[in-house]
Amino acid sequence: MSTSADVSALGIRRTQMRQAAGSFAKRHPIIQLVVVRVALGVLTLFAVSIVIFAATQALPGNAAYAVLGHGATPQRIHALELRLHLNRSLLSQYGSWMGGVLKGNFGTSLANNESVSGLIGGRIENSAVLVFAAGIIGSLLAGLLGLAAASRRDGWFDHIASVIALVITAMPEFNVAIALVILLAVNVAHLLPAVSTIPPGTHAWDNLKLLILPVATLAIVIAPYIFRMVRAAMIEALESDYVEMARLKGVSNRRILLVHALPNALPPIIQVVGLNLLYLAGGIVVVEYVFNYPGVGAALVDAVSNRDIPTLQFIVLVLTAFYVLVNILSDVIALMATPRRRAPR
Amino acid sequence: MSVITRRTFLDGAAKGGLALGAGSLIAACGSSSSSSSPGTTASSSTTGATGTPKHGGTLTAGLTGGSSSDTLDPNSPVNNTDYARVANLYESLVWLNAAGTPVYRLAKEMTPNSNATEWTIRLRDGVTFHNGKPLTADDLIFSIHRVLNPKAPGEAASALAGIKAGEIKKLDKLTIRVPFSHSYSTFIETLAANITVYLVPVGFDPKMPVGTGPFKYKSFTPGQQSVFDRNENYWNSPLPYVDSLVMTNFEDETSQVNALLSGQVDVVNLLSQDTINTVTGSGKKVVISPGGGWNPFTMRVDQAPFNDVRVRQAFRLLVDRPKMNDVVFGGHGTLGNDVFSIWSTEYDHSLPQREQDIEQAKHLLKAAGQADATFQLTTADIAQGVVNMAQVFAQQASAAGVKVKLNQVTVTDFYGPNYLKWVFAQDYWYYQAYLAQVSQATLPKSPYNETHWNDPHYTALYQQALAQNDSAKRDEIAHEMQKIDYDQGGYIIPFFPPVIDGYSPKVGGIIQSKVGSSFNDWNFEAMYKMA
Amino acid sequence: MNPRREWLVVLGRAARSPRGRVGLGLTLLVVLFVIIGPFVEPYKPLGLETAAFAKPSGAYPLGADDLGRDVLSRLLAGGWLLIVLALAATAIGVGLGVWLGIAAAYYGRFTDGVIMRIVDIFLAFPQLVFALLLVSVLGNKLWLIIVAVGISHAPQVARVIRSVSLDVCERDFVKAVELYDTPGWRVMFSEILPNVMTVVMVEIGLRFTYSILIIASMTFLGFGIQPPAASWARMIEENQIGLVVNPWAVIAPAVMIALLTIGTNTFTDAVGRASLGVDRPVEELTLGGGIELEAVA
Repeated sequence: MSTSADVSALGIRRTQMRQAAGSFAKRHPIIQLVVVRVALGVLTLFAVSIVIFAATQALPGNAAYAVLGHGATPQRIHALELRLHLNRSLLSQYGSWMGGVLKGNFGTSLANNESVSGLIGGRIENSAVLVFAAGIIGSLLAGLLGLAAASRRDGWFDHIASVIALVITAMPEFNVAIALVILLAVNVAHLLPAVSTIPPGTHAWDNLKLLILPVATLAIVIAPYIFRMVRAAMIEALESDYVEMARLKGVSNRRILLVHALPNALPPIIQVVGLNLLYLAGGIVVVEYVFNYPGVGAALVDAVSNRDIPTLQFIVLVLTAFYVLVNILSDVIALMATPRRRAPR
Repeated sequence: MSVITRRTFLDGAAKGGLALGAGSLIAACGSSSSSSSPGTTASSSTTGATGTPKHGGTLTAGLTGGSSSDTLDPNSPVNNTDYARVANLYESLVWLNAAGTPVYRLAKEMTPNSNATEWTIRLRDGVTFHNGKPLTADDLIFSIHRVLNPKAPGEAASALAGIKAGEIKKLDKLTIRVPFSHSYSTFIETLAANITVYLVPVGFDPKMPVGTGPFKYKSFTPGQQSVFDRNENYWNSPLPYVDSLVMTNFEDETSQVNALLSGQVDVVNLLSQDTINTVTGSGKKVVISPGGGWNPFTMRVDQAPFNDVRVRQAFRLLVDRPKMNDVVFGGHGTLGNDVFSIWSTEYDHSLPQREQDIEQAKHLLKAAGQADATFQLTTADIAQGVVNMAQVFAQQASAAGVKVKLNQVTVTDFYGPNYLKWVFAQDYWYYQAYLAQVSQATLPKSPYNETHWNDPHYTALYQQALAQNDSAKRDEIAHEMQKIDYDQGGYIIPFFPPVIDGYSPKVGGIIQSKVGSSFNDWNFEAMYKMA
Repeated sequence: MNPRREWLVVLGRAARSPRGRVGLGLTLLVVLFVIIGPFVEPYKPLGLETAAFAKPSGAYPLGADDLGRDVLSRLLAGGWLLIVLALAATAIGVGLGVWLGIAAAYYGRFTDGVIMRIVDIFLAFPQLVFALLLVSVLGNKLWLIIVAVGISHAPQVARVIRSVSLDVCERDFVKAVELYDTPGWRVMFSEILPNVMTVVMVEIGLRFTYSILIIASMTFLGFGIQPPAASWARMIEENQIGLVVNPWAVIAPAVMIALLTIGTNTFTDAVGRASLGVDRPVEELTLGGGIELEAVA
């Protein structure tokens, strides 16, 4: 699994929090944090839109070539370029696009002349369902396994689970997807549909059976990371003086685990879950491809090959906004979940 | 005056063993072509239905390709899924039957004047559009103008290029006369192959896709799926058989085949030879058609090193054709001789089969001073088997000591600004008759002259043929042109690839076809679901 | 213990741990296979030998691929390109990331702000998406894949290295060196870098593993290593279609990739554990850096 699940980001974010919470509003560090981060996020979105627009200009050919494909004779190219306004200057193309965005209009697809938000909306919903279903299921599964492993550290379960986790993190996700298809859909057992073509006009959650394999793939792919973090954070918490004290007082094991240790282990776990959600936003590209799932991954590849700049811009902006949002949320939740003695001094 | 076209039809009918009559064309080709298609031996390719066709049910097709630029505009289909959809919503005047012979569809009759500069077209009576409006001569004129519209020229604009659009005359409710700026004796063959001259009602708006075809528009999401309903008023009843036709896009063959195997779709198209065993081993079926489509290597005859005919001939001699056919299409293709349109009555079967001759190839390359050169072949995944053909070509060349480097680009880049300008590349074509194909590919004014072929003698021969209403004499001229293709042309045509489609045994009415596109040119109206 | 040599000690400790032995062993096994491979392949990896997807037999122990080429020969020939690409991408990503990270930490203030804002923008793209976009914009060239994957690593590495370097920058010996007007690049590379070397080692291990996975995924999606080259990642993609007929054409290269990445990942894990001296996953090493930072600052 390739990953942006990079726990390393944590250190930096904590300093930012500290700086943000510095002089002003020490009593409302969270609000201060949110305001600063949202402002930075909007700046990031703007910068990304310029980067994408500039990048697409370097692409050979344009939407007219891409749309006409095999039938691209010079006459037809010329006529289509005029109809798509591709002959206008770069600045005016970007300007009119930005003007539209400020009014909430994300433009018209160059590929088929329909509104971008209408065209991509359903796909975003599909992908969101995939990401959140996999995120929730993967986190819960990994959480339970991590608790179990930590509670009997160095037991047989801990060892087996740790090794499996290590192996899965080294697996490309298309391997996991293909293995599931072979086992459950096509070769060994014929239990589940092998492709997940959500019919247009229906919602992903109306087609639960179609969701099982793609969600399972993604859940399996992210679970090891979360498992490892839950296990490590729990072990650290279980070693703390605080838990030791509770143990001496004769508190039951289950109570120690859930009431005393878990809350202390939560902040890093939340951060890792957030990072894995972010990873999923990229990881769905491969999974959507394998299962022919109509999500943003396929739409993104499509938009690039169609040179469909408004659609590409929209998808990338949605992904970026998702990134910014998840980052803010996971930091805020982690901060709120941080017990007082671990809060930044 | 009508002798010529009739004769063409009869020729085709005789060769294909088809009984043709304008009224019962479609039923005729449906029943006869499975016995008439030669060239396939695989037992897995048994086709056609057992039992009688029945009405009802939903047919789900998993089609390869497509993107968010998918369109239902009859004038500008681009990829497979576009062609499949428009072919079921709209109809043209003539089309190719399973034997590759032109037959009337919405035309009742098309007759040329003595030098073929003017054609009279009479429409079939009693045809209605999906919105209930009857088909008339006005609709035909509107449709022709729509293809020729300079602001948005249709895919088939070049096939109609000689039409004096302003001078088309309506003779009566169903008849028009079309004047051309030059002789056009091959109008019917060209029209039959360039199927996108679809008939639409006056004032047609692609957002309300109304045609006369066997299926009616219900819903469509570009890049994903379309749902069409049975056209209850179809002129060629009892077709179509199924109540609903669902076509779903697939990005790659593996998920397409998986969908067939797990029963999510009834038919899939354009498979590779590699999946034949997978499909048949899992209780599904394949139909392997000896398609007349072709996947040529294209050499630009106006650019070094291919401006030297010795280099072109050397490259043609480097190919081990049977081996390439075996490796890429399991031997299911039909061997080629660097001349296109193999199923055409105009095709010259007497040219000796070209075989691999490494000695001669090296000798020619040396004579041309290219013995140690490295050649770059541009390839892209534009059609089934194309990239594999490039790999095999490079390998066969290198085994002979000739260095060929592959330059694989994305499909979009392939059709980008360099399209039709690559020095040494590949392409794909569906089947059309020889002279019709020439007009598209090997004349200085051809829209897709990818080899930049410009031979005045060849072009003059073509013009002679256009003025010639006697098909036997046309064949003679065509043979002369083919000799030029064979000795000097810029195409390498190692074989004509098979079209391999997969289907569930619960689907009947599937036949072999020579037209080079899937399901006998997307003939879903002839398919039916068995209980 | 000399802090400059600490990372060597950590490496040695890691290599002696059970995990480290397994990881190093697997990695060396695969590397050996790749190095010896081209000398012992029974057929030419590009030669069209037999029927497409022929099943394994005496002559072709792993059967044939989609064009009838010998799978074993392609397996033996197909590792080095992937490894070289991944190494190069790792070098670019870690090199750039370390430089940016240390510079941000050392110069602080404005430089830090600018670098980290740029890093933020690049981080907002999922890594695979970023690499795909870059390759589709500029074309499918090998060097570009290296650069694309490398650049996509850099922001992540930069964040980690910055956080651990901030701590080092505050230490006395750095302050002391600064007093002598030593040039900035010298402080950065001869004073700070050796002290964050352990973390750099872990980053190299992680990024190498991810490089292989990203390049393999790109190839799977049709970008990346091009035909007819024999390469494990490509073999999976081209032979997936014949999975039912000759599964070894897919399983064998998939297993090789998995052995390699499991090996590097396990060894990296061992390095992480050795450096922390406790039983913690590598992920937490970098997390630890962050927490420690706050205690110091």
